[in-house]
Amino acid sequence: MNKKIPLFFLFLISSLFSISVQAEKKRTYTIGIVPQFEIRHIRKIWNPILNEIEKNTGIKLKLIGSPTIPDFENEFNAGKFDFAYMNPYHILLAKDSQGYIPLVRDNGRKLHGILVVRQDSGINSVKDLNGKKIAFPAPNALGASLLMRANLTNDYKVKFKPIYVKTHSSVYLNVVVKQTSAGGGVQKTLNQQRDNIKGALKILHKTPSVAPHPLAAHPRVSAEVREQIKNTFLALGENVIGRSLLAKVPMKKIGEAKMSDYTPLKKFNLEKFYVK
Amino acid sequence: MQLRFGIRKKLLLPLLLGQAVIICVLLFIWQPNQLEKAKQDFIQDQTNILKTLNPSIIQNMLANDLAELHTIFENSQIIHQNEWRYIQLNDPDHKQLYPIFSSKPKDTNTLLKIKITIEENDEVFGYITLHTDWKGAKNKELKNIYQLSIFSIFLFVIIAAFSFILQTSWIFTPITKLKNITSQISKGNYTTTFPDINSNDEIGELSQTFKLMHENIKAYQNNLQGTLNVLENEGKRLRAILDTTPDAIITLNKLGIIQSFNHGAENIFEYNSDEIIGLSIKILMPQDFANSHDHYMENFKNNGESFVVGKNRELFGKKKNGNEFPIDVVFNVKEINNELLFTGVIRDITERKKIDRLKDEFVATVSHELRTPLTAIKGSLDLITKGFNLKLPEQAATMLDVANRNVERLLTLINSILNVSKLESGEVNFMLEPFEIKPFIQNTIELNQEYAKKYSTTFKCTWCHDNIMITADIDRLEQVMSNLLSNAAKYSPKDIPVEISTSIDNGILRVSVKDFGPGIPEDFQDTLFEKFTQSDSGDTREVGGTGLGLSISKMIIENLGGRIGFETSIGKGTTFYFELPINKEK
Repeated sequence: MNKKIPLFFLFLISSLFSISVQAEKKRTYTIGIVPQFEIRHIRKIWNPILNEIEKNTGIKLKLIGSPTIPDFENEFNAGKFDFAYMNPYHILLAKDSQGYIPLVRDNGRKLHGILVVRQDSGINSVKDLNGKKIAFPAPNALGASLLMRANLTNDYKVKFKPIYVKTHSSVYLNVVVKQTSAGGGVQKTLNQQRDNIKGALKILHKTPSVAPHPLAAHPRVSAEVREQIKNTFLALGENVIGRSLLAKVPMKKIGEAKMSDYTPLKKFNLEKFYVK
Repeated sequence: MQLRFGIRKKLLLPLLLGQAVIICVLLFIWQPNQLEKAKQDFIQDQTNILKTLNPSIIQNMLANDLAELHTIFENSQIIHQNEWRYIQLNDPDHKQLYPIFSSKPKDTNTLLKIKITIEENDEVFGYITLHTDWKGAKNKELKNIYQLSIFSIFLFVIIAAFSFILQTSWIFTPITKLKNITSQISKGNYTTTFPDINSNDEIGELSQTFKLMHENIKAYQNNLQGTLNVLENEGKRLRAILDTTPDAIITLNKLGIIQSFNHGAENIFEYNSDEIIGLSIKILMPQDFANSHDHYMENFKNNGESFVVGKNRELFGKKKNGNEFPIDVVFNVKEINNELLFTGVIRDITERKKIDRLKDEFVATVSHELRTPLTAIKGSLDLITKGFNLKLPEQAATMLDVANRNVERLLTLINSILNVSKLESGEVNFMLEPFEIKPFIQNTIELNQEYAKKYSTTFKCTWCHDNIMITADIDRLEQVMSNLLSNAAKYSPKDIPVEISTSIDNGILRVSVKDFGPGIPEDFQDTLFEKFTQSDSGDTREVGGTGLGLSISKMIIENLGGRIGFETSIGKGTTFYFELPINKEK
């Protein structure tokens, strides 16, 4: 026993020494992720990516979890995160409040909302939904809710009663069990449903497409670091491992993001539909 | 053949019945109850499980989060896949929220439907219907039930077997021992040793009682044997006495049938006992007496009057060859075992009668032969002293007077002897006639008053009943009365009168003659009425007399159907009396 104590101290001292050497090389930045999933799920997706970034750049990104989307919004509006992965509407807000700069996004797809009804509902037109209940996952879910509600109200003048049911799956189930006449979702989540659910539903309508979620940087992060991070992410898309990690975010084909990708959203007047 | 249930089977029967009852109770009451209880427990468990889902269901219903609800139900179904066959969620409007596509399973006999309402603070959020299969729980319970049942039955079998062994050793074995020994005793084997049964219970007490009884019987048996021996010896002794006595001793039943006949009887009547036992006593009687025998027996049965019972009678018997002979008979009656038994002692008096007759004839002859010359002597003496008016010298006159008095005395004695002889031989004829007693007594007193004067006393009638009639030979009764009066006068002190009185008791008249003399010494009392008896038979005969008077008086009174007797007290006096029946009508 007595022999182990000097060994343990030796190990402790050598560890502290190595950390102090590295601290000179590395700087730690914070990163926030929109809490579309529960925090554990988010960590599971993002931690391997952040480790990869650190390995390649020596820059440590510390993931800061937010309990809810409104908390997340408050935090990026307050400039809490050095980097943030947010939805397209958020970048409009973040740009305005803190001047966040989009770095990368999924260039492999576009984001649009879909409206589903039961196959046997007899509803064939958006107009038929006038005065009916429509299910949405949450008020501020971009494609499924914000875009769809704005699109139906602004462009089709449909008056409906929104029912928020937390998740996309719930939206589809509510439609299937006829709790609501229709439901707002996105193609990807519909595709994930079981065949009998999918088979019971049909897509009645799609919203115009927008660019998907960007990873943005606070302007206080030096341009050098911003560039370094952007390049490293883009470089991840070049190899199989990196792509598989990014696919879980989801980013099918990572590419550069510009603020101009998101400005078309402004015409939807989403702030009117945004629930704070 | 009648079925015999031994005590062992009877002891076994309740145990078997108990076994059957326990099996029935287990099968038809306990098992269904346990199963039903298990079913209710299962339902309660399932309900509780469903209730634990309630908060999350309510939360997700409020949030319209059907997906989460579906997840909850799907997960629950996976967890409870062994039991849950189908679960359904309906909203308060009964719209089905879960499941969407699967259909209800077919009913089976183990499928239970549980429906609960999801509610909180009286607000209904929906309904859950669960089809759950309790087959597993049921089988588990059944297994438990069967194990417990088998264990219970096994336990009871062990207990029953143990009880049976105990019962056998406590009850059956001692009872069998008792049975065997009592069976031997019942066969008369009293010498068997009684086994010890040392159980401290009723059987032990029974055994002790039996043992005591056995000892008592044994002791009683020994006593009985002793008594029998004594009786046998006594019987032999009595038989010896009976057989050696010369008198005939015969026993008869109430019908007069001969029951026993001793050697004496065989000798006297010349019958063998074998041939006469069982025949009527009449066979031993002369025809005329046999004819009236039945009448005597009837009389005895009705009012206890008997001719021969308790009295010595001289009768005639009849031998086997038909010869009649005089007998002296006395019968006694005893009640033995509620049966009257007459015992007769019969003596052949042929010889005695012969001697008596010879004696009487001798006395009569001698008396007659003596009286004739004496009467001639007295007549001659009377003529000399009175008839011829002779002047005799004084000395001669005195001598003649002595001669005269002695002749008179001899004549009186001979007359008395003749009297007795006649009475005894039955030659005296009694002239019976009714007469009143009081004048008779007064007359007798008067006649004898002169005699009283000779002894310086008087006869005095103290109390005589009037109008009392009796029937008797008045001369003979006067003879009796004179005898009693003269005796009283002889023994009465001077100047104290002899008292004569009558009394009546129950139709019988008693005439008493009382003197205040010295009384009769005890030695003479028994023989007073025998012939030639006087209380002062010594040399100094003050009173004189023949000693035959009382004997004659007794014979007369008894011939008249009465009784004579006396009461005496030494120094105070004697009362002689005779009793005769009073005539019923005057």
